[in-house]
Amino acid sequence: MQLTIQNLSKTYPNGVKALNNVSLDIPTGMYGLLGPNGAGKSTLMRTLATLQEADSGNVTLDNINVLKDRDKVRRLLGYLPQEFGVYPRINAIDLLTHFAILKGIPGSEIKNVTEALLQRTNLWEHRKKAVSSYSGGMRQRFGIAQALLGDPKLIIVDEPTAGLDPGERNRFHNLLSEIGENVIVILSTHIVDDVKELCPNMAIINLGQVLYAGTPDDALHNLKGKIWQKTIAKSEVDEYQQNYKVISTKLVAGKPILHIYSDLDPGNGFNGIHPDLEDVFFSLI
Amino acid sequence: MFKTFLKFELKSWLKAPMPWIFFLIFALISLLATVSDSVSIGGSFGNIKKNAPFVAENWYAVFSLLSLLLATAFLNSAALRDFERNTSQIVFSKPIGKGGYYFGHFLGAFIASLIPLIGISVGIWTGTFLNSIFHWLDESRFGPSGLSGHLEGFFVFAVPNLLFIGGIVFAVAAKTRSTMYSFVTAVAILVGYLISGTLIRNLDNEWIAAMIDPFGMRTFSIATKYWTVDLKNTSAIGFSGILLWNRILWTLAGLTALFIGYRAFSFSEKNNSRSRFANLFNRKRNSISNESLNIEKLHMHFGGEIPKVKALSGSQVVFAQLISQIKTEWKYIVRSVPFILLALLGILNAWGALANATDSYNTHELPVTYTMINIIRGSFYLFTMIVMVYFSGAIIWKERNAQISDITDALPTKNWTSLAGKYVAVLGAMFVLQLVIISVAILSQIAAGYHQYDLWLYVRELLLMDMLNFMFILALAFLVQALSPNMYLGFFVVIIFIAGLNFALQALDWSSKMVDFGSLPGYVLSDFYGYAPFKTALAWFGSYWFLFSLLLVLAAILFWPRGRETGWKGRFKLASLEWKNYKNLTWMFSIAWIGVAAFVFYNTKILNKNTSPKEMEKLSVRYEKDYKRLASIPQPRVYNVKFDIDLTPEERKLSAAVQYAILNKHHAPLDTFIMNVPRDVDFELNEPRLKLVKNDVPLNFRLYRFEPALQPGDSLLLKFNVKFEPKGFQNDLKFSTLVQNGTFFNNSDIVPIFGYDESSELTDKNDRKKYGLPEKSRRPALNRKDTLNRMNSYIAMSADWVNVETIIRTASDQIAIAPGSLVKEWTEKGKRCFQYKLDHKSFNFYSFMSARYQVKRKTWNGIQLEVYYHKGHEYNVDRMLNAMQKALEYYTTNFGPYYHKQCRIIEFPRFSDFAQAFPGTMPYSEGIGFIQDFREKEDDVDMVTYVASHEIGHQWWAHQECGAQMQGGEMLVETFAQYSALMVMEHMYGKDQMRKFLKYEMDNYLRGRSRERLKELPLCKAEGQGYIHYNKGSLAMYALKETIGEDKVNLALRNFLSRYRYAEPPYPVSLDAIDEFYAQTPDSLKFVVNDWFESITIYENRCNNVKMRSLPNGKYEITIDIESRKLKADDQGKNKEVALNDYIEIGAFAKPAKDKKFGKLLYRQKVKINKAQNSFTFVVNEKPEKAGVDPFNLLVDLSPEDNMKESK
Repeated sequence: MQLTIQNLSKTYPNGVKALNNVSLDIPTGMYGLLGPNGAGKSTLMRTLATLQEADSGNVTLDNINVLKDRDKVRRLLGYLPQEFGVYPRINAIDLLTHFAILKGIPGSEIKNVTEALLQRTNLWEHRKKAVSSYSGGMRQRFGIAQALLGDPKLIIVDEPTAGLDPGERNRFHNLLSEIGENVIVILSTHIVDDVKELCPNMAIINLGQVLYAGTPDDALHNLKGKIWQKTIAKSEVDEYQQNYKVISTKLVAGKPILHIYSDLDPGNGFNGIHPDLEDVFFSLI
Repeated sequence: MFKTFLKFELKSWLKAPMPWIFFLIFALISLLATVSDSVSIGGSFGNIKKNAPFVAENWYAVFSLLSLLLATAFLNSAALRDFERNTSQIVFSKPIGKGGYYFGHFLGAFIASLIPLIGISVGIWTGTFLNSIFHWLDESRFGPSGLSGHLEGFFVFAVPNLLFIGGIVFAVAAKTRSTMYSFVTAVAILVGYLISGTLIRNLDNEWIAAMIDPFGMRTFSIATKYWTVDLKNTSAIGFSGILLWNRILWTLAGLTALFIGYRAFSFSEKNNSRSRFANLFNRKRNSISNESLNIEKLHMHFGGEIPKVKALSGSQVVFAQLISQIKTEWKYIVRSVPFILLALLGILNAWGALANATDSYNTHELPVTYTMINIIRGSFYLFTMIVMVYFSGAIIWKERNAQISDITDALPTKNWTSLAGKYVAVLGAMFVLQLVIISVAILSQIAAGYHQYDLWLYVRELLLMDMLNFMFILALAFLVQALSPNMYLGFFVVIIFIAGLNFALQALDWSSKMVDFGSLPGYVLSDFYGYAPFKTALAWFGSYWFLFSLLLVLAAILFWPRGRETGWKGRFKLASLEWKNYKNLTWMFSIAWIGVAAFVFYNTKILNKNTSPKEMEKLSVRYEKDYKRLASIPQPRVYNVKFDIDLTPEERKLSAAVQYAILNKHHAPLDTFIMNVPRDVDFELNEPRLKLVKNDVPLNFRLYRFEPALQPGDSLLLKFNVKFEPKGFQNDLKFSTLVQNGTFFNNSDIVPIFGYDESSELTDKNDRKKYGLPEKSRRPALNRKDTLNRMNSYIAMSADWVNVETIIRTASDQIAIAPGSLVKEWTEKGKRCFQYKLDHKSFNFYSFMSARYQVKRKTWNGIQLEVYYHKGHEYNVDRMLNAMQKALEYYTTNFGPYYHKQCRIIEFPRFSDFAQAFPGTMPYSEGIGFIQDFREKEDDVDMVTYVASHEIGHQWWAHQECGAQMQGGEMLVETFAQYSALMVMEHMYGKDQMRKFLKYEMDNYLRGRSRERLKELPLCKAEGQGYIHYNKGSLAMYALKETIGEDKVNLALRNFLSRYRYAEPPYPVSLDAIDEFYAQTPDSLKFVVNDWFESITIYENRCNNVKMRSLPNGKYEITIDIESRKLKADDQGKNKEVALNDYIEIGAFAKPAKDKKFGKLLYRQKVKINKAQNSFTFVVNEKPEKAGVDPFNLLVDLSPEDNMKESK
């Protein structure tokens, strides 16, 4: 399986360029799509999920034209949108069964599949409860359950861990990585750790453009020896912003810690550190 | 504290858009209604000024009901604001007073909810002002802009109504903290209101109905029902009488609810910390998340294998998807609160009407199935339509509103299955509503003991015809919602389309059903012929709209909202991707639709011309402009007629050969012959002596010249042929009274009218002005000396008294009836043939009928009494025969001989609802007397006997003498027939029936005069005004009879009749009969003839006090204080008090027995009254219930209901 995105562009009617000539090659396995809010991640995901038109460009899944042959794509697709609600007055098993039928699961298999998915996502106990009464985590798990219907080959999950507590987030990651062994899983997130933990491949996008595509290791390697750190006083922040290429300012115990990018040792009390993915992210955007 | 919350609440509303949006909407509606006649609020008002105080006040009443849900929204959100925004914890943790909080918020929202209503006044004032600049309407339609109606409207209706609604809703919302309960409460109020509406149907409950209307609307119409135009133009009603009590009652109800709510509210606060409400509210939510957290801790790990089952495609999958879609959508609809509420509301609304089928005289009708169907359409379909409009939106936006569309749209389903699932579900929900209401209707038929429920008719009408119409509109609504970028915009467009289509078509003058979306040609069902005459047109128009709806659905599929693409460019791109799947289907349906459309067009536009209302209007105008100048040219008269009519009912074919013997009755030779030939039929005349000068085909107008001229006394036998053969099918059925079974047409449908026909002229004042025609009076002025206008009776032109002989041929299984006695009957060429001949010359006004009749006969004094009826309609046949005999007995004894050898009542199909009198023959509609229900309804007026007696009365009053074409003409016909019938009734039933009947006549007269569009005239000058010549006529004649005696009245009538019986013109005028009344009236009473017949006289009798004392001998002494005034009204209803010197009755009634409406008469005495205040004492034998003045409502009274008072 290989998903190929070529020169994809999309401009919204209000003039916002959501995608600007995006090209990516996405192999089987987990693929992290990292970017700040508003970077164009969701637009890209929705375009891949057949929910949106592109102005130009091509997307192919093996030999399927994703933009034209929607029906075929939809049969191979599992999609968990960033936010979703549910109908009132319908319980989990009924709703999942409905989705399974719509997905095209043969009638004889529906019971098997839905029950397995509900157990797998730990919703079995709650299957008779209205999905609208679920907590955020339960609802997210229901979302993944429906995304896994029909043995999808392309799974797109948009910001899946937002709003989950750390325990839930871990379990969710485990599930994803297990599934991601044989299929393409595209995970969009603005949380660097998600990608670090899960994805052998990644891309960073901002303002509709791909800033980096490759493995996280390569990204780190590129920055090796170029990130410097210093703890300063709050009043000095402005001055440092002007004099250095500051990529991030973090407060630790109330004091700002600066990370700057510099090919050479900037001196002035800066210490060289091992870059992490966050530094990659901030240095690019 | 109170002030702070009030200010806060007010401020937030004033800044919110909602009050102002509705303010603008209300202002716009009332502006439109003010400056145009096509928009009306709460009914139209005749010739009342557009900005009259009465109108403004009425609109406040109507709109305060419309704003029920609006006010609910306002007050509900005021009560719940802190809970919904989760600010309750913050607010309640502050040191606030409960009273200030509760009442402050209430008052703020209450004031805000009044804002939209002020739009009414703004609309009226703006409209009045704009009209003074742009003159859309005649300036005379406006009066001075005053404040009175507006202030009264605001304070009498707006404020109390919103206090009532608001008090209850606010209390419920504050207590339950649930929007749903608030709206349930509002709906419950609405239901209560609608139920109280069914009670008003019976007049005796009027006081109760006036009190239990929480919005005072019916109270308002009851309190002003007898208001004249003049009064409505100058005044509004304030807090007085029953309206005051109603307003006090419901304002108190609202305030009480508000205080109860306050008590409940303060109770919670006292008990616990200030944030208790917040806890109450939040607890539920917290508990769920706590629970789920616990459960998650129990199941720490994910596990288990997921079977690898691939998503398939193919028709089996698509079918399964479709079924699942339908199921899901169906469950969504029928389990939703709006559906259940609307269904319940609709059923409640319809139930009252279904359980009490009554006609206009409040008599009970048998709950026959088509009556039930009409009731369902009138009282239930509003709710069905709301269900359709609401769910067409809610279901198409379901996924997007629930924010699940990202998931569902990415599933491998076809657009069409999504659409079909939703469409079928909504249609199914409507189908279920139909099934439910049919069950309710059948239940109410069973409850009424009527067991001939016609299931098949329910199925055809409600489940097929109406569902078809719903399908069409639903298809349109789906397309609109599929295209609309917003659900509410979609609602708006659909509602505007449904409500506005008729206005638009009217404005454009498009009367073709081909542009009236989803509508089929109008049809009237009848037990006689079922759908037969309409079948073809229904089938073709049905296919036309069916195919069109399919195309709409296809368009909805192509543009089905899927995914996040909202821009039109993107949507077109998606639609073009879909196009390849639906291309063939679309082409196929398009071609089919175009083909059907072409065929329908050919039939309704080319083969049959369809004249639109405006075209008709223009034709009338041209007729008058071109030919009015010929009006005074004398014309020959018909004196002898022979028909040979050949009917082929199953093909709706007619051909007739007619011989018209005409005569010059004038003193000069005639050379110009003006002929208005019958419309809708082919008319062929070949007479060598007539030379065609002009043939104006569109107007059916022909001008001939006699060559040589027709000399005085000279006659001519005109022979003409008439033919009708339906061609294809029509938009509106042509010659609709010629049907497969139950044909009923009269001679004017197939013979020409001679001379300029004034009745073709436009009559509406405003229309005439628009076309530059001079003002026209409804009738020539009453003037004995106007011999020109006295040459025509108001019934029949072209002839005076004629002899008629008819041969009529019809299908072998039908009986055909023509005027006169049956001479012979035979069969010829497979047709049943009848020959009839009039026994005595009559007016040139008679009918021809043919149907598969049952006949019931009886002989009385050598006269054949016959009732012809449709099999299965025998309920009242015996009663009719009896009525005929009783009426003939009374009339031959008191008025003079009957000149025919037969007296027939003949049933005809429901295409009209009337009974009519022709010589010896009385067609009577299937839709009236034949279905009156007499079982255990003893107090009902016996309308069957009454109508039959009235029509038989016409055998004297119409067919032996007839009023001239002049003011007051109907008095000599309708009023006397009405009197005759009253006498038959009185002799048959005694005075108790009369009391009820007179009450209804009074009521109808008073209502009629308050709706008069031009001017009210005295009885002797009435210009075809039914409320005068029927209702006031009954009252005047009956009162005259009570004053001078039955014998004297009958003698006067007999004398009048003997002067004019079958007399040649000039025809009599009302004054000729009044002369006879004067002659029989003693001098001391002569003024009553003037009062009741020659002027508009109204009394105001009232009983102020009744005192009762038991006497030792077991009798009762009653003292009544009564008040009397006598008024003369002008033609606009302006009253002037005149001196009293009248004989008026006083009396007393006992308490009615159980289940009876009227108590026994205990005392009745005529007393002379010559001053306003009077007191009388009398003794009665039994305990009285009521006593007072004019107990029988003999005199026209401004407020008849206060004549009698309960004794104390």
